[in-house]
Amino acid sequence: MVAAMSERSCPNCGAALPKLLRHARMVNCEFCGSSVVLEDEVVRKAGEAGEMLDAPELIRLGHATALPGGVFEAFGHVRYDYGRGHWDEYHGSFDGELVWVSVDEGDVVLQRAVAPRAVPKGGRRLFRIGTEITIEGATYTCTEVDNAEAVAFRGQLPEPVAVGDLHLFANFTGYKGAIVSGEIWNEGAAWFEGQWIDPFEVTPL
Amino acid sequence: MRIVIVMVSLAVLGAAGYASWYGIGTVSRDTGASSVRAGSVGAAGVRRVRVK
Amino acid sequence: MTGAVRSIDCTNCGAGLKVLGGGRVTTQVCGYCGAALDANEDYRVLEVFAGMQRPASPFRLGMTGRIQGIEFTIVGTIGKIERYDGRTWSWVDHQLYSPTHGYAWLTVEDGHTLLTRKIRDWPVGPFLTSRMVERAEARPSRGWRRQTFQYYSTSSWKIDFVEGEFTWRPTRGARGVTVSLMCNSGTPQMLAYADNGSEREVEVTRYFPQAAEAFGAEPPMSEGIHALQPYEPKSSSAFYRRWFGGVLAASVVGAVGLSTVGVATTTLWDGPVREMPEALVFEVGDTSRPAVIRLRHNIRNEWSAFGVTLTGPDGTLLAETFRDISYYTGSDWSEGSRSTALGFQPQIAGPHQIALELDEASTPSVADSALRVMVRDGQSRPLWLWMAAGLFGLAFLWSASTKLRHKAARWSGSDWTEEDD
Repeated sequence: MVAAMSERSCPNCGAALPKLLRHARMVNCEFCGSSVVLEDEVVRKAGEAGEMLDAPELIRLGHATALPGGVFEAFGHVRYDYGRGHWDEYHGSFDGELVWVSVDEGDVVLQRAVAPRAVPKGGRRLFRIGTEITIEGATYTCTEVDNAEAVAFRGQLPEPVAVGDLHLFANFTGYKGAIVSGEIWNEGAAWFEGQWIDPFEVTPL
Repeated sequence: MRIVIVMVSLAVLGAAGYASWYGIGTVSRDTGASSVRAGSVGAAGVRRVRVK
Repeated sequence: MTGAVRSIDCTNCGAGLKVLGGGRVTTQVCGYCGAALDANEDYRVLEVFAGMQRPASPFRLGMTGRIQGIEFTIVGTIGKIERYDGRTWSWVDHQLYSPTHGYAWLTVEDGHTLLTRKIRDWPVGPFLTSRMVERAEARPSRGWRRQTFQYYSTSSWKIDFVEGEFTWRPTRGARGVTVSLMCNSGTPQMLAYADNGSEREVEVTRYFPQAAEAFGAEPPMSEGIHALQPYEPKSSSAFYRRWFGGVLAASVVGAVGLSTVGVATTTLWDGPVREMPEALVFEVGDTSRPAVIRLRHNIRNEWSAFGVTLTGPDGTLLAETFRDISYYTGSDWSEGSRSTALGFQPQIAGPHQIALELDEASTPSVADSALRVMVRDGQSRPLWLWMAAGLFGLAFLWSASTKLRHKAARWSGSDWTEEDD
C-alpha cells in the first residue's frame, strides 16, 4: 500500500524531490521550501511550505512511533494555527494502513476518513457546539469549533493543503473516547472518525 | 527493636517450656512439708458442710 | 505553545505575570490582585477575587518536574475546601502542563501528593452522580481498563483560592461534586466523576509520592494513610511474620509433645472403697517434677469425702488433707466431677505411701461404689506452652495482617454505608 513512486525534481528550483510514495499528492522541496503538488504525471509549484517553528513534538516525521495497537510512521506533517497556539496533524502508515494522527497539547487522536456514504449532511450548519450527528448508528455531540490556518507542512501528503488556507474545524465527542472531526475549507470538506490515545502510550521507537 | 522482640519472645518461649516441663502449677497447695507443718492436720473443721 | 508571549502585565494591577501554559489556556488569574484575565481577549479583566488566602503547598507556579520522563510545568493553583458535619477538609490542586502531554493535576492532600489525569475512554455505564449514589442499594461500581472500581466517597467542594492559568474559567466560590470510586486490587487508583455544574469529566488519580522530589519542592509532612497509598511491606514485617510463625510452631510442638509423650500411669487400686487397703504404696522415680495422685469415684447423685495422708520414703508426712468428690446429674445436666487430684513434689525417690479414708459420704452405700486410685510421676503441664502459643499466635496474626490492615485504613475514609433492610 505504501510504495515508492518514480523520482521527480522540483518545478521551482530543479532540485531532486525525495522518493515519492504512491499515495502522495503533495510534497515539500527540502531545498527551496516550495510546496509541490502532483497532478497525474505533472508536478506543479503550489506555494511555500511555510515555516515550521521548533516546538516539542510527540511524533516526528520519518520516525516510527508506538501507539496502542500498532506502529505509526509519519510521512507528512501539517501544522494548524488557531491564534494562541497550534496543533499538528501527521499523515502516515499505522501498521500499513494510511491514517492521520492529530496532536493538540496532549490530546492525541488516531483518525481514519469517514466512508463517503456515512459523511453527515448539513455542511457548515453542523459546526456549532451542541450539534448532534449520527455516523453508522453512533451519536456524537459537537464539543469544540475552531478556525485554524494551515501554517506549514513537511513531507508528503495524500491531498494538497495550501499554506495560509483557513479551515473551520469541529470536534464531535462520542462514546468511550470516540471522536469525529469535521473540517471545511474553501475547496472542500473532510470528515474523520477517531479514537483518543493516551499521550503516555505514545512512545518513539 | 527487632533484637528486643526476639529476646522477649525467646524468654517467653523458654519460660513457658520450663514451666510446662516442670509441671509448674500441678502441685496442690495442701501438700508439702510447709502445708503439713502449718497445722492442717485434723482439718475436719475446715471442711465444707454438704447440704445436698 | 506558540512561544511568542512569555509574560504579560496584569491588566488590573500591572504586576508582571509569566505565561507558562499552552494555547488552550483561556483564563489567567493574577496571583497578586486576584484578577481573572481572559487569555483570548488581550487579558481583559473578567472579575477580581480580592483577599484570597493562598493555601499551604510546597509547590509554586513555574516549578517544573518530570512525570514518567515527561516534563510538566505547574501553571495553576486551586485551593478547594469541603465542609460537612462541622468538619472542614481542604486540599490544593495544581494544574500541570506539558506541550506534548497536555494537562494534569498535582494534588496535595494531608501532605500526600497525588496525580490526576482526565480520561477520554470513560467506563461503561452512565456518568455517576451523587444522586445516583444516594439512590443506589448496592455499592456502585464501574469497570475501567480491566479493573473494577467500587464507590468510595462523594465530595461537595468549593473553590477557595485560584491563581495561574487554566483551560477553563475557575471562580472563587464555585462549587462542584466529585464522586470517587477506588479499585480493589493492584496499584491503588481512583476514578472520579467530577461535575462542576457546567462540565463533566472523568479523571483517574494515583498516589504520586515522588512529586516533591520531581519538582524540587520541600516534601510535605504526610498525615495518616491516604486512600491511594500503596502498601509497602517493610522488611521487618516479613521477618516478624516468620519469627512469630516459628516460635508459635515451636510452642505448639512442645505443648503437643508434652501432652502425648506422657509417663505411664500406675493404678494403685480399682475396686469398692470398702475393700481398699488402709495404705497404698507406690514408687516414685522422678523427683525433679511433681507427681499426681488421681481419684476417680464411680458415684452418681452422691458425694464422698476422703481423708488423705501421704508419706514419703523416709516417713516424712508430705500431706495430711482431704478430697471431696461430688457428682450430680439429671436428664440434661450434670454438676461436679467424679475425679479429684492431689499433686505433690516428691523430695526423695522411693516408695511412697498414701492412706485414703472415706470420712463422710452422702449415703453409706457410697462405700460400695468403685474407687480408682492412679499415680504418675514426672508430671508436666503443657498449659503454659499453650498460653505462649496463644500469645505468639496473636503476634503472628498482627504481623501477617499488615497488608490487610493497610487496606482497611485506606477504605476507612469511604462514606458508603450498607443499609440493613
